[in-house]
Amino acid sequence: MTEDRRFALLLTGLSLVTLGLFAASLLIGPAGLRIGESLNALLFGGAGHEATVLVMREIRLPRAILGLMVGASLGLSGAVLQGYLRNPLAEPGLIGISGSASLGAVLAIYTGMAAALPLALPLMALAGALLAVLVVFAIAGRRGGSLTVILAGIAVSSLAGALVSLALNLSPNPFAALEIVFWMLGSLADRSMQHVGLAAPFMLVGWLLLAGAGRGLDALTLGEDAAAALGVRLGRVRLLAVVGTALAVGAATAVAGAIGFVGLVVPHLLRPLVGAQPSRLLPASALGGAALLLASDLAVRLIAPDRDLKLGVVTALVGAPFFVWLVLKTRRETL
Amino acid sequence: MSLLDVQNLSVRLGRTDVLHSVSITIAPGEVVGLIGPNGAGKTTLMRAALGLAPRTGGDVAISGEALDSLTPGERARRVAWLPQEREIAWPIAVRRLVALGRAPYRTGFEALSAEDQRAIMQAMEQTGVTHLADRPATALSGGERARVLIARALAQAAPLLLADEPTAGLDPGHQIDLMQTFRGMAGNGQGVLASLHDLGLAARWCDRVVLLYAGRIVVEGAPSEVLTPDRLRAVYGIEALVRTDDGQGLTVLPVGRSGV
Amino acid sequence: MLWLRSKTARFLPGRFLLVLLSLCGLAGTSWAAPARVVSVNLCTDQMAMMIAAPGQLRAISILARDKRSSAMAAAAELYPVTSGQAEDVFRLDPDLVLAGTYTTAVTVQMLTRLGIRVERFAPATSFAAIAANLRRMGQVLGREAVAEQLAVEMETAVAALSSGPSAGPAVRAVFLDANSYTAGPGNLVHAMLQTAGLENIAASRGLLGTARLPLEVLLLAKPDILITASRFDAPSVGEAVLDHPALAELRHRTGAAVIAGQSYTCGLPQTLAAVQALVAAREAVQARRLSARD
Repeated sequence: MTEDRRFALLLTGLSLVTLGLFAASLLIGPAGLRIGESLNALLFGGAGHEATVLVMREIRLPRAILGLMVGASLGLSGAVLQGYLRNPLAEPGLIGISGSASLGAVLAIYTGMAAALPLALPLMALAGALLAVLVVFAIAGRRGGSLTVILAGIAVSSLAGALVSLALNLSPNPFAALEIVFWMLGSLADRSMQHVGLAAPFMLVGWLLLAGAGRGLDALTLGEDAAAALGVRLGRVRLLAVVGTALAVGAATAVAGAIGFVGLVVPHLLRPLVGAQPSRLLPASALGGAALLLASDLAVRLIAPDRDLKLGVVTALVGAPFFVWLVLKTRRETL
Repeated sequence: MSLLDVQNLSVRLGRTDVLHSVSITIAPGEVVGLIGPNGAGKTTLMRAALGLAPRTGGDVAISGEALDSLTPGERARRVAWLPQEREIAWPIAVRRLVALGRAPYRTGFEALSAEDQRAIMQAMEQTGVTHLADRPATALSGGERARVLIARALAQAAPLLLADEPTAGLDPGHQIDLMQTFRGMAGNGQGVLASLHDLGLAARWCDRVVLLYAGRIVVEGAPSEVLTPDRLRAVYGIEALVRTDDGQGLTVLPVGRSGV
Repeated sequence: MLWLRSKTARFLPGRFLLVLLSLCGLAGTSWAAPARVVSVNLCTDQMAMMIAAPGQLRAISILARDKRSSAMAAAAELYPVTSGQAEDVFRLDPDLVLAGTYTTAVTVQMLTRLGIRVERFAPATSFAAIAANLRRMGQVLGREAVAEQLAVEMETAVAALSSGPSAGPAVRAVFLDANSYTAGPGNLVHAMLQTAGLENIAASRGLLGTARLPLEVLLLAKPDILITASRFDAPSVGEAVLDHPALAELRHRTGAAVIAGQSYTCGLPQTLAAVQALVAAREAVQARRLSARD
C-alpha cells in the first residue's frame, strides 16, 4: 500500500533528521573542537586529551541526549493528549502540565529535598504533572471541548506559575529568585549525565505507556461511545495517557524546565503527513519533537552562546506565529 | 439462541428512571425497529444493552452469553454499535475510518488481513462510499459522512448490529439502500435493532417493531399490529394514514397533530 | 563651559542656584558633618560602619546582617536596620542618606524630593576605586582622618603584594559563579586575581565585566586554579553547575580555591583577605611545578 510506504518514508526521514541534529548537537559548541578530535574523544577517550574527553562525554553528550529525550517526550505526549481529548489545542505546556511539573520540581529542589534524595526531583515533578492532567481531564469532561480544555489549562498554568514564583521568592538563596525564568522557559545548559540518569527511566516508561494508547486513540476518532463499542477499554486508555504523560513530561520538566509549544506544533505539522491517524502520529511526533528541540537547543547555542538564552524562548518564537496561523486557519474553516 | 436477550432491564440516570423493566430479544435473521417519541429511552436501551450505560437491574445476554462475562473485545465481535452522534475527530481517509471497524479482530499494530480488507471493501460498497475511499472523512457532506460511519459499523461484521437513528440525514434513496442492506444482513442470519423516527421505513422494512414510551415497552409485534392510528395518536399525538391496500405492503404516513 | 552657559541660561534663577549648590556638594566642600546618617546600601553600610563616629550612623540596610553578603555581619547586629524604602527611611529623619548608584532610582528621587541629602557611591571594581570610595566616605561623614588611615593601610598592602617576585610561567586561573558566569576586567574579582598575581583566563578570552563562560570552554582552557564562589545554604539550580561532574574531574587535577561572597560583593579593605587566599593557591601551584621539575 502506498500509504504505508509513505509512512515508512516519513519515519525514516524524521529519524535521519533527528540523528543529524543529534550529531550536530554533539559536534557544535562554543569550544570549537575539530570533528575528528571530538569523535575520537567521545568514542575512544584517549590519554592527553582529558579535557576534550570531558567536554564530549560529560557536557555535550548529556545535553544532546536530554534534547532528544525531552523533545520526544513533549512531541509524543502532545500527540497523545490531542488524540485522547480529540482537541488540537491539548498540549503539555498549554494545558498546564509542564507548569505543574515545574512546581513539583521547584518544591523538590529549593526545599533541599532533592539534595537529600535525588529521586525526589523526578517524583515530585511527576506528581505535579499527574495532578495537572487529572484536573484538566476532569474539567474537560467527556467531550473535551476546546473551550473547557483551554480554560482548565489557563487555570492550572497560572496557578502553578504563581506558586513557582512564590516558592522561588521565598527562598533565601538570591539566585533562586532569578530562576523563575528557567522554570517557565526551560534550558538544557550545563545538564550532566546525572540528570540523564534521573530522568531517562521515567521517560522510557512514560513512552511505553503512551505508545500503548495508540490503537485506542484511533478508535476514539469516532467518539467515546463508538470506541467503547469497538472493544476499547476507555479507562485503560485514559490511564495510559494520564500516567504516560505525567511520567514523560514530569521527568522532562524536572531536568529541563517547562518548554512550551513543542507538543502543540509538532503533532499539527505532522498530522497531514500521517493521514491524520492518531496512532501513526505518535512515533512521528516523538521524532519530530526530538528534532525540533535539538534544533532549538542548537539555535540557543549558535545565536547567543554567551547569553543564557532559554530554550522556551526559541520554541515560542517558532510556536507563537504558528499558533496564530492555526487560529486563522480554524476560523476560516468554521466560517 | 437469540443474538440479544434483554430481560427486565432498568436504568436510572441520576434521579430519573429512564427504563423500567424492559425486555427485548433479537433473533438471527431479524430486523427490529425501535420506535418511540423523543426521550422515550431508545438510545439508553441500546447503550445499556451494550454495557455502555450502567444498568440498575435486569440481565443482558449477547449470543447466549451474559454481557458481564464478555470482555470488551469479545463483545465487539458479537455486536456492532452505530451511535447517533456522527463524530469524526480527525480528517482521516474514509478507507482508514471504515477500517476502524476491524479493530476487534486485530491485535497490536499488525497490518490488515485479507479478510479485513474484504470486509472493508464490502462495507464501502454496501453503503456506496467506495468512490470516497481516499477523501478525508471530515470533508464529506452530512449524508456521506453518515454512510461512511454506517460502513464502519458494517465492517465490524458482528452477528448483531445496534443502530441509533441510522437513517437520519440520508436522502430517500440512501435510506432505502440502508434498509435493504439491513434486510440483506438478516438474510445472512445477522440481526439488526435500529431506532427509527421514520414510521414509514419501520413499517415497510422491519420484521418487528418495538414501541417504547416513557421507559416502558408499550407494545411489540409485527408492524401492522403495532402501528395503528389509535396507538400513534396515544403515543406520538399524531394523526396518521395507515394503509395496507395499495399492494406495496404497509404504509404509514403521519399527516397532522391530533387535537389535544 | 560654553555648553554649560547655554544650558543654564534657560534655567530659572532658583534652579540655577540649586545646580551650583549641588556642584559644590560633589566637590566635597563645606558641609557640616551630618549627625543622623542612614545607609540603604550593603556597600555603604559597611564603609560607614568602619568610618562613622559613634552615634553618627543611625541605621543600615538589612542585608548588612547577612553573613553571605556582608563582611561585617557581626558588627551590623549593633545597628538598627531599615528596609531601605523611602517611607521607612524618612521616618528616621536623617540628614544624610548613603546609597549605591544602583539603589532603586525611585527611592532616591523620593528622598531627594522630601528634601533629604543623598550621597551615592558607585560599586568599586578596583583597589584604587575602593580607596577612593573610602576617602569620599570620610569626606561626607566629616571623618577624613579615619578614612585616610584605612585607605593608606590597604594601599600599602596591595603594593606589597604586587611587588612580590613572580617566578616562572604565569599561573592561569578562572572564576566560576552560578549559571556559568565568570569575571573579566571591570569586575572586582578580576582585580583580585590580578593583585594575587594570577592570569585571568576570562580576561585573556576577551570577556568583560560579568560574562558567561561556557563550561566546555572553561575545561579546554585548562586552568591551573579553579576559583568558585562560596555557596548559599539554600539550594538553587544556578549553583548546580558548580557540582557538574566535569568540574569535579577538573578540581581533582588542578588547584582549587573558594572565595567567599562577602569578600567581593563590596569593595572593602576586607577584600584583600580573600586575595591572600588566592596568593596561597598560586604559590601552591608554583610549588607543585617546582617539585614536578625536580
